[in-house]
Amino acid sequence: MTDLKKRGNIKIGPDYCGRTRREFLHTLGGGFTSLALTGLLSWDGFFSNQAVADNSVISYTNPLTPKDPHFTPKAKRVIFLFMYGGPSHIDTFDYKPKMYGLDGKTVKVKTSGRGGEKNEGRIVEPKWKFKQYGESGQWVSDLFPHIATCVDDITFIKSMTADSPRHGSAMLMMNSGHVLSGRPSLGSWVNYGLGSVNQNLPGYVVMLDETGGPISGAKNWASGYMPAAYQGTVFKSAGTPIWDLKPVDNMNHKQQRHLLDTLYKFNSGHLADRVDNSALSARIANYELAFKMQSTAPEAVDLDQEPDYIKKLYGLDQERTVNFGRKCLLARRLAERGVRFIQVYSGGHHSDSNWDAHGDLVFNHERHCGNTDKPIAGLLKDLKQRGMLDETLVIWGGEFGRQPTAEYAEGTGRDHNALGFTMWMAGGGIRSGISIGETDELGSAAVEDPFHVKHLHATVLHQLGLNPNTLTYFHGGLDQKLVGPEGAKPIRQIIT
Amino acid sequence: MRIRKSQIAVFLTISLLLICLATPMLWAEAAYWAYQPVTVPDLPPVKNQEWIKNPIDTFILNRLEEGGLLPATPATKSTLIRRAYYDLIGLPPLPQEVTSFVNDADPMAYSKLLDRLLDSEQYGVKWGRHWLDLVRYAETNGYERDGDKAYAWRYRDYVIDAFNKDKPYDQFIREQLAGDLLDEITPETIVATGYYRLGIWDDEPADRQLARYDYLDDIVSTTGQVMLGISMGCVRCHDHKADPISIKDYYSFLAFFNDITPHSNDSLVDIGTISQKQEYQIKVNQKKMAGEKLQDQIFKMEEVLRTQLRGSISQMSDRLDTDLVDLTYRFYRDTWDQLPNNFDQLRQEAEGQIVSNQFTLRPASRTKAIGLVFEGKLHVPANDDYTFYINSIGGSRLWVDGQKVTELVQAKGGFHQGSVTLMAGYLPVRLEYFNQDEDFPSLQVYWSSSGEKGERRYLSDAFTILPDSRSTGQSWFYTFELPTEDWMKVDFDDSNWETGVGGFGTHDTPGTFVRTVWNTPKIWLRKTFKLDHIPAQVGLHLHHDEDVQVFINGKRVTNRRGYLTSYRTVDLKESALKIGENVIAVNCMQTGGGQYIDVGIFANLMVADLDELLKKHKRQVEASPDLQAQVDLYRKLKKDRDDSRKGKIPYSHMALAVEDIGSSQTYILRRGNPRLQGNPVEPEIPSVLRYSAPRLKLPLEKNQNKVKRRIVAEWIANSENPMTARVMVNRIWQHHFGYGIVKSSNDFGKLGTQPTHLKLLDWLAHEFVNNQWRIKSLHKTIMMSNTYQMSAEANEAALVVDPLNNLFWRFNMRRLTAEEIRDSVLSVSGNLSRKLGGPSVFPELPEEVLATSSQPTRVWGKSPPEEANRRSVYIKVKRSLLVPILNQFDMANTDSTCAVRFMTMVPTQSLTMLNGKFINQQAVTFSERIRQRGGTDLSTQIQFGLRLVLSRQPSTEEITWATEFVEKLMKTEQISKKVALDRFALLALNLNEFIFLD
Repeated sequence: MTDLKKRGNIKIGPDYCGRTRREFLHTLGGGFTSLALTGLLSWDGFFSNQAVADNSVISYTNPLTPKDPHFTPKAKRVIFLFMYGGPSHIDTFDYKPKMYGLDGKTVKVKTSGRGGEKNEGRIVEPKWKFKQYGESGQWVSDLFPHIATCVDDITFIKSMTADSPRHGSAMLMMNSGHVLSGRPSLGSWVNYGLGSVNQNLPGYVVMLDETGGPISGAKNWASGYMPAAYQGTVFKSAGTPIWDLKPVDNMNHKQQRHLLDTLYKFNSGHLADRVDNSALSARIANYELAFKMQSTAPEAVDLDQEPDYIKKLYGLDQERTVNFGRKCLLARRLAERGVRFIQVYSGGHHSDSNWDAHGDLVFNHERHCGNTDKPIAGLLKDLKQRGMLDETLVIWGGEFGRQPTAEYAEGTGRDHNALGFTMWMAGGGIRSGISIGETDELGSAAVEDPFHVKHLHATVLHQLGLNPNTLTYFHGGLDQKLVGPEGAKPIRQIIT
Repeated sequence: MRIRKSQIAVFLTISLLLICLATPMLWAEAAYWAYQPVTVPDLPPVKNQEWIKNPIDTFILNRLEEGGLLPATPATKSTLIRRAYYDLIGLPPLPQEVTSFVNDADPMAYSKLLDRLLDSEQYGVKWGRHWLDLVRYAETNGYERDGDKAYAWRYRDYVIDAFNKDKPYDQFIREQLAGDLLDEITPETIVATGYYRLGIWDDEPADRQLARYDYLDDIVSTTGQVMLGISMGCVRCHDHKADPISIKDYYSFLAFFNDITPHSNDSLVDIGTISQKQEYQIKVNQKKMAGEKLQDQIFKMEEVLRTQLRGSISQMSDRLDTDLVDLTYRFYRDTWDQLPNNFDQLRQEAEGQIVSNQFTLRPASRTKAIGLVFEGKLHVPANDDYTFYINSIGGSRLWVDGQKVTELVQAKGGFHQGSVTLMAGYLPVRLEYFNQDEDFPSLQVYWSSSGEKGERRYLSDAFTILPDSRSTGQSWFYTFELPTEDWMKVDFDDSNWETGVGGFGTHDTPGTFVRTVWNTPKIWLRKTFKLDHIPAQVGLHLHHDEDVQVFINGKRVTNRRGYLTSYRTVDLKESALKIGENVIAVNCMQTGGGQYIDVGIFANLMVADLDELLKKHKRQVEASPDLQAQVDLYRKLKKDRDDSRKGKIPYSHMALAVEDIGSSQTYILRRGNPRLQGNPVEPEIPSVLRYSAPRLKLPLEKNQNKVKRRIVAEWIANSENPMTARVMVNRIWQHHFGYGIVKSSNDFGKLGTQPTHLKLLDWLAHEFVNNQWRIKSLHKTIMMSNTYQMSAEANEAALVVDPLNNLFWRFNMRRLTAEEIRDSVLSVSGNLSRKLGGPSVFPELPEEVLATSSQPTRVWGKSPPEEANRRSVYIKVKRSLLVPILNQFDMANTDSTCAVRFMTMVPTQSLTMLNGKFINQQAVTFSERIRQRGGTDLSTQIQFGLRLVLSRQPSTEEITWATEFVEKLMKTEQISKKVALDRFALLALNLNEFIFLD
């Protein structure tokens, strides 16, 4: 009845446990023919690519089918460099000249971190010198000599704020817009809103640190109340990139092909009496897609295809930078191949394995900055030289910043700070060489043009051509939004 | 936090509760179908009477005939048995079961099959999982630590068991909402209240106040959606935009749950039976006795060794002056109400000498319910009047020279003193002491002559630096308002703080001596005291409820979480004390229940540490084989004792459950903001349901607690509630047919989908309630209908008219759920363990999956194979680590209620089913099973394998395809028959027909 070729792609079942549009998708149930979604879906505009089969049988809709944005996007993709643990803004990009010379002095300053709320503390003077770089003259500390050479392409937001100074909830906030667990992550929203261009690769990729995932693990790239198809796929930068991508050891390509051909015979026979059920044909098609992914994904991660000068650019020739460098280079390769949202973690596990410098700030930040500076600069330069930077939005930052004062009686460790911190963006229709917002003289809190995480998220969606206030998903009786029920505007000052 | 276990008063007289009231204002809104009482609908007319097996068919056929549609042909018997197996137990039938059913000519065969499946304990495994989806079941809290919800699995077992024993649904609801407040409370009903503890919980929220309402919102929205089909997600901040539910309704409904204690790491309730507790107690006692026996031997050995080294001791600089000589002790065990008069008539447990010649509690081999009698001689330097001072927790009595000098017989003890005239010389002295079961022991004794008042000489190895408020209230500076952060510093100005007498707290807190009421969330205390020397060992007498921090001279010396129910002694590693003026500063916080804070400081005089002595006299010891043997024995005893103290006797009769904290007033929070408190509200059901639903008059008086959740439970579980039965029968229907009569099965409101067959819904609801809310009989009724027994065959005409099958003109095919897929694979490979219940299991996960955790090496456990191969409902549900095969095939999101699962088809699923370790391991065992049980001939082996996955006889064509596949592999790829059959097994597990159900 239905032409298989016409539907071709991966398709999904009708019964979204959440409910994309309440009029129909509100918990539909498992009947496969119940997917008369299209007419209703087109209500949302970006569902216009949904397939309507002929002869009134409604076909499966691949959740990752490319969808039209709400308006012409400036960015095609996002690379989010996540500095897990919380980098210190006043030691990196937020220059606080008045703090120098105050080391050890106790000052009145309100702070809130894992150690609770305090009204005074001992200043830990920024441990590195700052210099101005580029034509834009932006300030960068000695921790980032390579990124410093890219500042003319970067916009700093030095007045970021978040709702929580605790890792658990702050990670969820930065990744999913809310301190409560169970929301879809930013990448899931992008996948949901735009689908994926390359069906042979996941639309949303996450690369983790060698030391382990961030706290809360998979929650950071989960799809929450949306289908699992929208969640991030963990990609390894060495070996087999995706779980279960490689056939078992003793099965060669030819044998597997033979297996798939026989499987096709059985499944086609089964389908013959059930042609109206497009879920069956979707599953048949998926075996072919999976087969293709087995070759396309390894090709994507085959860094040997890159010339030496490129490898060097990312620091692959140095032990310190090779790990993060591989991930950055891989991010570019995936971006080239149509992966829409790529998140790269610097830091994993707990304490000094990430940017969480509670004890020895110098040790911690020299380690993580040194590991990432060259690769990040390499990524920016490489994207630029390929003409990709304009349409690739690069984001740098952690779940919060750090306090100007010491956490303990002794030492240089700083506690968490969600009242003011720095993030930066580059490319993807973001203005270059500027800096917006300010923290106070100590960097303890945002005082001028404070921006919330939701503004950052709104900006990301906006650059991708999605309206953050109309990109909604019906769940739990509410039209849910990434940016919260009250909505949020993108940060206009930084948009070209 | 703890509230006294008072009798659970039940104020409910249901007859009193059912008073119908109406307010005309909302009549129009209340006319919406879902709020109308369930009526018994008339059976509609149908033409094709022959098709009707039961009234379900009448309702369905009536609509089909109206739409000019014909019902699909009946399903074949082999389709039907597979459908029934999956729908009732979530597993495939065995080939022989299929054969015998297909060949069974008994007209009752199908009915008997259903009875057998409904009786299977695997039924609860399948249907319990549907309920677990609804109540966002998970076994960890999420967030940074993703801490374990200990004993959450008991709730899972409760649910499975409830389905298996066909617990009436109204009782099922009652137990989960108010199992701790019922007339009859059992361990089972307590476990049921774990319902309230299954959600996410951040143990360090950025905003504690908001977090409390997030928790309550989770309960309100889950209860509303799951049990009532009402969605209240938006009403937390503003009136519902579509349904007649106001923000006042929301907070009034929330008020039913506002007395629940907050989440914590130890919100566990003891559900042990008397014999379980006794058995545990016996084990604990045995362990304790063994330890005490060793401790007594150790003390004696110490004294012996001290005696042996006595000559050297006298030269030790840290040896203490003492006025006592020839001191002996007798040690007693008992529980007394007051100091016994007649120690001499009691039997001591141990006796011996005290070489240090100080009154000391060191001979006590345990800390509770002890008695000690000391006898010796007191060196009186001159004829004079002497005063003796005693400060003890527990009673004490002192005789000198045959005269009773002072006594305090009360169990709680305290400070007492007495004077006596004594002649110079060595006079007999006797001290008696006891403490009760509840207290930690403390004994301090000193004396002074009349001439040197104030010059104390210690007779005990401990003395008080700063008394606590047990016997005499101590004066403190205090404040309830957050002070500046230097409040604990020595030079902090506390002059504008209040002055009050300790202890501070509320009178209903156990084990306290409240003299100043503190009932706010936090208190800060300060006090100054003087010292003329710095004692070596310092400890605190402390009672706190809840978290406390103690600072001495600005330095934090202790930081304890949670609460105590009596005083404790806490040794301090560093005291921060100094000569002259000292400042102690304390702060204590409160989240719910009782509250209390009191602190005192005591000192232990340095007693020459025996290990130090032995070190110093190493040569002397080594020179004497006898002494060396004693030292070796001493060390061995100490090691044995330390070993015996290690490890706890496990007690597992605990449940994740709720308790009430008392009566909380609830307020409307404007825009959902806890800082914008509006009008107070009383517990009340949503107003729109008051006309049609039974109106419950709430017999609530101020401060009357432990009844609110019972009321809401009784209201929901009431047969007249229009929502409860409708919502549940719709869910049962949904899991048989793929979707509900109301497809948005968690939302019966206007934002939900409207029922396709309202009368059928009502008929089912009415049947359900009439059958005592028995779910199994509802299954049977549904499955006996012709509607259920139709095939899934398409019909072109019907597809045009009703492509969504809203009218149920055929059966809906479905993909198996994540659990069904994994369980079926295990079942076919022959590896499935059907064991029920108990703690969750950890199937092996690939390292790359573990690497996504922040603690790759600690995040997951390891179960032996037979445990790892249990049904999927028993796999540990961890919020931060998802089991790939379950996650990929659309298991429920664990952070909010999930009424309908997604059913996605994505290529990564195919990768997992082709290349995954689990599937390949199972394929190898499946292949082994085929080779062992499927005969020797390839064709019979293939038939055997296909029959297992397809639950039917394979066609000749299918056998040929598979045979050619295996043969070709062997021929052209030169692989062994074993490996070729492994491949065939893998192929079979990937068949669409295996994963889909007709």
